[in-house]
Amino acid sequence: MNIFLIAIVIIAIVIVLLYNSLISKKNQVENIYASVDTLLKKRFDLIPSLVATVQESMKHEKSTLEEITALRSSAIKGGVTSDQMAGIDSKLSSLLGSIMVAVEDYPELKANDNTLNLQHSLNEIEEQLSAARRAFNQVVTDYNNAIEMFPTNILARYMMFSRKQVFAINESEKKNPNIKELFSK
Amino acid sequence: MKKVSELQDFFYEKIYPDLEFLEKKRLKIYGYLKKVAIILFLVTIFFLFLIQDYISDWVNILAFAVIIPSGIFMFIYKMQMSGFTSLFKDELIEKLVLFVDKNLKYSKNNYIREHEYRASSLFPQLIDRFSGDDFVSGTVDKVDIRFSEIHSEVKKKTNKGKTYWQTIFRGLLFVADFNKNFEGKTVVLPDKSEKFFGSISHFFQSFSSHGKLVKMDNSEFEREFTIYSDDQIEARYILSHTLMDRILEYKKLVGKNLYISFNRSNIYIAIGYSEKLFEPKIYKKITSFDEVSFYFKVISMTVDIVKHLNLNRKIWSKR
Repeated sequence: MNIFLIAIVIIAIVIVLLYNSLISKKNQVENIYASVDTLLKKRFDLIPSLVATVQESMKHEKSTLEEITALRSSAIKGGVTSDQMAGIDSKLSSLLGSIMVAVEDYPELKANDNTLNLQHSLNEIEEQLSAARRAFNQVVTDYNNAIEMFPTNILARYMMFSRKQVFAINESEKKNPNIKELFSK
Repeated sequence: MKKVSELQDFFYEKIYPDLEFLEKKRLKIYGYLKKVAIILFLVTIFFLFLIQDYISDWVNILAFAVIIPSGIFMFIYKMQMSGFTSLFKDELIEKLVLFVDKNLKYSKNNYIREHEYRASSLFPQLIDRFSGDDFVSGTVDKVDIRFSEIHSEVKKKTNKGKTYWQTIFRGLLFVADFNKNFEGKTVVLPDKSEKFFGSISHFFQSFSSHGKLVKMDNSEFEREFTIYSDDQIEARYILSHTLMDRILEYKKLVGKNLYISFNRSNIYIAIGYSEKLFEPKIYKKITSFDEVSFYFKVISMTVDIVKHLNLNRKIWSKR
């Protein structure tokens, strides 16, 4: 009888621990996502000023600028899930990157203080966003592992936890310059 | 880093004449110390011979016969060496520091102070003694840097109640202004368990006073280091993919344990060395190019941290 009771208590403790670890992983994902979200909003806030500053000069990039504005509007209208946001973020990052490269072809923009400041702010936010995405991907990986691995997967199924999507990391972000080459220069 | 051929030219043209003078001095001191050792040995034997009839406890007497002459010898050795070491640092180490970069300043008796060592948060253990020397400071590629040799120790007691000093860290501590703004604290320590236990080691590493464990998305970096931070996002903001690769390259170059932290807008790098650096060895020839080349390499590699880790690339918010 006693052994039976002890076994029940041990099982109960294990279930509580597993449950708590799952909840803590889910909360971590939400917590880091909130930071990603804040940075994304910060970047959305910069877009109108950026477009206003460069659109006069950048006639050839009109369609790209329109696409950026459209993406921003769809992102801030609300009701966007984290997976959809990941898609928007990836597209926006590459579009903004191409605009920043194109600025180099416009001497009047390159000399403009306002453009330079915007460029600096955008670069800074991109760097912070990249860090936030990496942190998010790590906690999502931990979470996904937990809901797929035994024994937490059994509990996760009862709690209706489902897999979450990671942010796509730009290839250019992952690619590093060849350090040896740099040193030999 | 300057080339070996440049160092060779500098060595034979600028340092060698002064080193020859120092070498003569070393031989003189070496000869004197040898004489002192022989005299002390003979006096001790003679003394033991005189009192042999009165000795009942040989073990204690022999212990004294070793301790007292050794104490006298060490006292004379230190007296002789202090002036010589000071001269050695003026004639060689200072010149080497200026050869590496003429904008640097060298101060032989100064060192990175204890409050900076504590601010690095690399070694949270309590310490009872902190010392150092060979302080180098200056601006390299517009980055303010400083480093020195340091030694932190803690007093311990054996089971028999005997006290002894245990080293917490010995080596170089490098401090520089970091190129990004940040508010929290991130610490990168050598990983001793991951190579053997793989991902299970994460479980044990998560219990640390350094902060929360951060798992990085660079497997080689994860194998070599354990990262702790009080901010998961900031740790990745600081440790970008590029910086992680550069740190790995630098670790391979130095071949020593690296302890790195980011705190109060600074980067702290502690490089462990098993013995005291930049000190003359009385039994070794001073005019040897290999010795000079070793000192040059240590100074040069430490100053070059700025280039290796790209610290001069100021991020936008820090312009």
